[in-house]
Amino acid sequence: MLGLNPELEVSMSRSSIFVLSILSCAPLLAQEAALKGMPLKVRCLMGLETVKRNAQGMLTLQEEAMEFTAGQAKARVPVKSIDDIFSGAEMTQSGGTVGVITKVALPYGGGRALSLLLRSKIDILTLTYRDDNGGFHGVILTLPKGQGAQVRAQLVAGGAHAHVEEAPQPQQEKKQ
Amino acid sequence: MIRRSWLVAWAVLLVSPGYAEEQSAPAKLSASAIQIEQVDAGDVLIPMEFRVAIYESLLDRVRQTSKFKQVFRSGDRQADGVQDLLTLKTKIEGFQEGSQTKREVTTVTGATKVDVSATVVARDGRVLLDQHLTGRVRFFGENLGATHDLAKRIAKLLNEKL
Repeated sequence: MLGLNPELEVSMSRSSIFVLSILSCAPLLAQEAALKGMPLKVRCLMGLETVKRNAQGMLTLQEEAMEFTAGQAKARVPVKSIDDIFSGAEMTQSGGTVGVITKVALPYGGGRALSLLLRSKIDILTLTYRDDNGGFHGVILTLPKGQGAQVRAQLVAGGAHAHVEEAPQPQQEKKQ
Repeated sequence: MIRRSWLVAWAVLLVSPGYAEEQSAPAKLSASAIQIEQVDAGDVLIPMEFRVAIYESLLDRVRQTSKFKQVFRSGDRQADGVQDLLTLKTKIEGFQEGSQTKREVTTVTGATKVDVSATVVARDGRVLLDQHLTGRVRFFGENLGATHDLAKRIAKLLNEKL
């Protein structure tokens, strides 16, 4: 095919298949990490008292608590105190502050075109819980797409209270 | 003589609006603590993250004003013993979810809007404040930015009126 030795070609194709199979398994491995309670990279939009807004950090699901760590700041929510969990998805703009500045700086409407390219879908996990005094708290976390439902399921399995989420209704076929 | 009477008349005219304002301005109430209740969605369909964001942003904003010595969360039992406690209730009256991408591409469409009524009630049930407010995000920013805008407006209102 490439004018190489046939044995070399066979070994190259084997190695490329091996590399491709590993690459294709990477998202599955990431989901597996989320399921086993491995640290998961999330953004805490608000709600954790000791953590600043919009803090990027690691979420760890332990047996009795959900722990969020962002640098020195650490917050812990006992799983049993969670009243309800809501998972949703939203389309947002990625790129952060650099992305926003670039969009503003680009001439001839380039920023608008960039807005279309920088779209990304994220999962939003909203938790409500009560502290020791009975005070109501709400936490909003954003996670990579597809991981919100898994974290929710794991929290429920750990003893968190949550309403039953309605399954999306299948679209009705158009009558002819 | 005529000049003097003109001067007196002008002086009375200049002073009178300020005097009228002083007379009509309601006396500000002083309370040491406020309890912020959960956001009531009523019949309006609004995602939970928006309700939670309004509630948490309100707590932050009201604390930032330093108007009250204590700001309690909804359900906090520590608030039970406070005599001059005020309660802030927020009810959603309208919600329009926009799109961040639409806003950034078109600049005229895709705005997110939250309409609420904010009510402040004293411990004896007197309604001290009842006002309709709107939080918006029009150009740059995530949809949840509308909740920050709303919280900022409510906190400003509390600071001015109470």
